Amino acid sequence: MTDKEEDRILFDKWMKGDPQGFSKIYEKYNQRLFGFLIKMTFDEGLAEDLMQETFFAALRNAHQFDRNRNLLSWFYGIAHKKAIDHFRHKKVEKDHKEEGEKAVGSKIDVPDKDAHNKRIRELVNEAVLTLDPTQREVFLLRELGGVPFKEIAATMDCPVNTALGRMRLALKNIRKELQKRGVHGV
Amino acid sequence: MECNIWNEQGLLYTSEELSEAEVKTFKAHLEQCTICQQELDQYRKEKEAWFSPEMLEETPSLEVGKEIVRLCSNPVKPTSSFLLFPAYVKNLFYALVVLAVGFGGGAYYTGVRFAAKAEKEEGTVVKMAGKGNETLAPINRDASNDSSAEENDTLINRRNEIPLQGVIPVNQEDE
Repeated sequence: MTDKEEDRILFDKWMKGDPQGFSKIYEKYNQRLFGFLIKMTFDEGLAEDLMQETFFAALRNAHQFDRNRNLLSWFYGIAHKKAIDHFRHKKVEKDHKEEGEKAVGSKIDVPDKDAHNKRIRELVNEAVLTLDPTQREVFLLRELGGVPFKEIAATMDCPVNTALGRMRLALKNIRKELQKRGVHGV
Repeated sequence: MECNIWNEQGLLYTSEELSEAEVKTFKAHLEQCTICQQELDQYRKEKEAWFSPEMLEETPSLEVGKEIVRLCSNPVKPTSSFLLFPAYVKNLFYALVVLAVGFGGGAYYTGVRFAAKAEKEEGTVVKMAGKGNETLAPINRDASNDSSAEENDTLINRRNEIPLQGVIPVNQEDE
């Protein structure tokens, strides 16, 4: 069974009021969404609040969800909007990057895996956090959310070529940052 | 060194967003372009090793998770079947309602204006000349009033005695 088919079954269960439906969806995607939100906000508490808001908004609009769409992309679209609305509201987008740099390595807990993987994971996350906010958004929506570029462009209200350009820059900058930290290629 | 084909289509190829024809063209190009081959190879390796969800995801607190699951497990059931229609159908419906209200309001307003105009002309009696034409009695708001009704009858009788041609406006105050 493909991911999409499984999601459709879980979504239908959720809509029928089967508690297993939503809990399975949450179990499957909460870490990816939280990873996205924490890298967008640099604040664990805020990321948790935004994640709650994301799921509440999804709940409110679930009856409008087009079942042919990718469920995770839909969640990412909502999460992205919530994060952007928050920054627009607070007008803290300028301080965004500075806060992030301070937060690197301190606020993000790394699950216990083997030491090498843990180190690489830390370095990759540090590199991602140094990205320009628009590059980071595209990178995370694509890599963490698996959102197609055309949907990313629609979500960010920009042409597809702009989204592709941001992605290319994000990859280039991550490679550069990893090289600075002594990681030369995969 | 960069290849424009990679810049335009390479990433769309990896995200499976190219059409069949575009995929065919890109694959043909890929066989001949070492830059695109390197870019694709590097990106695939990085994606697997560095950019996998396991590398980038984070775990929220258990309490938050439990709360979200508790609050979101029961879906909001639409209160009417109307809510089940796609957004564009609902928007079309709303647009039609706005148009109907607009036209209805406009028609009503126009009617009110005509009525007001007619009221201004209330004191005018029109008589058409020619065969079979009848004399029109003046519109009298106080028609219920007996004395006024009598006055009107007198007025009509008198006017019928006068040979008329064409349309002659007659003022009620003539009397």
